[in-house]
Amino acid sequence: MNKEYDVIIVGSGITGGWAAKEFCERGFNTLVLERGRNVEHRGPEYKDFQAPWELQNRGMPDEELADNGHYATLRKKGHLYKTDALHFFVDDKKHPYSFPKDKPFMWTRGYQLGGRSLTWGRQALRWSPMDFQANAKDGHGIPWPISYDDLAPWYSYVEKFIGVSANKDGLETLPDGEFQTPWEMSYAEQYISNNIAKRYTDRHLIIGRAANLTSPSQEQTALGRSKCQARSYCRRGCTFGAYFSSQSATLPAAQKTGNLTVVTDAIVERVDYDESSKKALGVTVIDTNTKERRQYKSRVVFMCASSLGTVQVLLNSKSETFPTGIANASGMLGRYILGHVTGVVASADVPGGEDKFAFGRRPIATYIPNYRHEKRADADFVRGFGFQTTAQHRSSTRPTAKEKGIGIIAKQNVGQPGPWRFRAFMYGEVLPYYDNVATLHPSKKDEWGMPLLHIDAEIKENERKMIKQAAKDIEEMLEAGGCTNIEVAATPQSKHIPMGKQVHEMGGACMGSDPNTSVLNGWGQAHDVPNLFVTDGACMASCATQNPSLTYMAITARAADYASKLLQRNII
Amino acid sequence: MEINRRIFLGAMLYVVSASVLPSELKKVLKLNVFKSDAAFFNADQMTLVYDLANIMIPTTNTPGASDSHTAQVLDELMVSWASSSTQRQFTNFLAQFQSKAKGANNSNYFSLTKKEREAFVEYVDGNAFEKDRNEFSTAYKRIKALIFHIHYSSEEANPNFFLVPGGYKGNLTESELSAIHKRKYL
Ligand SMILES: Cc1cc2nc3c(=O)[nH]c(=O)nc-3n(C[C@H](O)[C@H](O)[C@H](O)COP(=O)(O)OP(=O)(O)OC[C@H]3O[C@@H](n4cnc5c(N)ncnc54)[C@H](O)[C@@H]3O)c2cc1C
Repeated sequence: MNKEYDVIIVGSGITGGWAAKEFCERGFNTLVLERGRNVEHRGPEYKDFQAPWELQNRGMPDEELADNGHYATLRKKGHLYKTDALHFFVDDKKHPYSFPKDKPFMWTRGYQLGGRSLTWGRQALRWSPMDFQANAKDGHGIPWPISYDDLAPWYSYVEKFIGVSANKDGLETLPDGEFQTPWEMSYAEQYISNNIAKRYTDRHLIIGRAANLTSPSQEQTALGRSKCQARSYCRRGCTFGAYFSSQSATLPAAQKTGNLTVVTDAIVERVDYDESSKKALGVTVIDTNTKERRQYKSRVVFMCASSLGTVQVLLNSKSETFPTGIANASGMLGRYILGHVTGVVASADVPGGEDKFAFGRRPIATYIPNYRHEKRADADFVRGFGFQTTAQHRSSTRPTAKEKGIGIIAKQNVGQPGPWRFRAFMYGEVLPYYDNVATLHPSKKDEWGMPLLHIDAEIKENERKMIKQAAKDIEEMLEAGGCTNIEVAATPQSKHIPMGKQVHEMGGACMGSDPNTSVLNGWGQAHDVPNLFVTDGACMASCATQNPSLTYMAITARAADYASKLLQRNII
Repeated sequence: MEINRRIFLGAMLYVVSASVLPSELKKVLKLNVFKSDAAFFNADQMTLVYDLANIMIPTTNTPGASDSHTAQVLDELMVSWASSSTQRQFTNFLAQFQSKAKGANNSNYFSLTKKEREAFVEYVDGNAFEKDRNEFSTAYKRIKALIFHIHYSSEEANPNFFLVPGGYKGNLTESELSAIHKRKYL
């Protein structure tokens, strides 16, 4: 097989797929290296046509897995630990990582072609100008070298391709984009939304912005994608190609050009560095099955192995010039590990609507965007939080398996329509902390000989204060929303909250203008190694409150365009 | 994953219970007796599990546990899903259940009338959730949870389930909803 390419892309998930499409469409001979197995679009691993009674073991994973310590992280997450899509998540017994005993970190991964693009929640939100200004403004972390305006055209570019169904809400805190028909709110969501709008000018309950097609474009149809059928079985893979994944969209687009080579079962162990040219030479991979090592060369290397996956490879890429990992002259590699924090869960009844019902399974929640960017008189913290929310169906009485009651009466009580109940989950911004850091474990290695990633990260005082405020705010908003029976549960201040739980881990190779304090410039290009780019979440200098993948996509497409121009001009 | 098990996908040929009782007795007992062993449970255990499931979720104007073959699915899950400790827990529970029934009623559980059996299961259910926190009630609660899960995730218990709804509507009247259910697509 050819071992020399124009571009090597490490990882085939959301960002790797985008990099592949962009380079292939610009005519570059492109190699995607993926550590996981091949997953065929619409192949046997997609379980989206299984009814609940057809799922393996009725959805319950084999008990022996838990007894033998498999899937520890996923089991803690609960709702993802089901047989419908378990095969798309990593078993951390097979792929261990490490953390201090008192700071458990939850790292939810997907090692297969398509990465977590197969299982993501598809909430596709732009960041606002304020989000990119935050670090510079309050002095936490490294100031972003790019602004919203730099990314805006790229947001539009990726939105048009992936297909985002959303409403144009006209909010400064959550800029609008190129949208397809939005999903509709339920009776209850609309009720609260209207009431909130009466009370506040800065707080809004909006329909989520979903990377699920509602009015497919010609380009999307040509890729074999069609309209979302509201099954909400997305994480099983979608035979309709209705949600955006590498399999449904970017990889087939790249494949069409004839410039794409994909090699699966290939763990990138390190980026190889050439001391004489001071450039990346290519990468060394370990064959997952044979454990043999081999090298691939390229003019450019794009790291898209997911934030922490990329940090692991970079730290492991040691050379004479970079004894602590490639592109780490600043010593910043692995620092500023970021993520979102949930410390408040609220629920409430929505009055009325006894004669209202919902049908179908909408593939997206509703959302209250962050309204606390600017420090307020009542806030003793910086940055802010938003809420992922939902009341898409009316509640109905559940079987009483967990309480007393059997027989005819218990049965009659099942499935009776109950009140509309609204739920809200806080998503707060964890500040960039220098000492939230990922390193390589000094002695432990995985079965392929890769040093384990050791993640030492925690939330601090600012986030704890945010949680207190979020609990107050949501109670007030639900009251203003006209709700009753409001219940707000805030995580006690003394209880540990693991980082990583919200699956939006970021940072570790952050962008910045100063090579002394950051790893990458505003193009995601390593300050120290001009043909090495990082465009997954590792490049993020802060984490805002929005789900981040749309921003990664925009950053990746923009960086690929920039790198293509440098390649064309033989600058790299 | 290194664990190698028989895979249970939910589709199976159900072992049907066959009565070995004289017809007079059958009328009084209303007990379906399994005459051969199933995949995991032996014939006696199957008879008991089947009876428990039917008492917990009887057939009324809507399907019950016997219509959804809950006992047979549970039996399959014991092979494909249950760990050895769950297998032990459940077989011990069934034996204990039989002996407790005998202690309480002075008669073998299978010889009790339907009404007596229902009363006994109700008594166990009440105790498990109100008073007892012992091995027996823990096991009872687990079996009950499984029986409910199997039944309420079955095709029979979900006549209005749509694999492909075709869209979402969040503000429908009851008659609009029934019309959708009738035409089987949005
Ligand atoms: C359940 C769930 C819900 C989510 N919901 C949302 C949401 O609603 N909105 C949102 O914005 N984000 C969401 N996310 C997060 C989103 O999935 C990630 O942000 C996104 O997938 C990151 O893209 P990526 O390309 O960086 O990484 P991934 O998609 O994880 O892909 C990385 C790829 O790199 C491969 N890889 C890793 N290491 C190596 C190596 N050494 N060599 C070769 N290949 C390697 C992996 O196998 C993988 O295929 C969700 C995630 C999960 C799990």
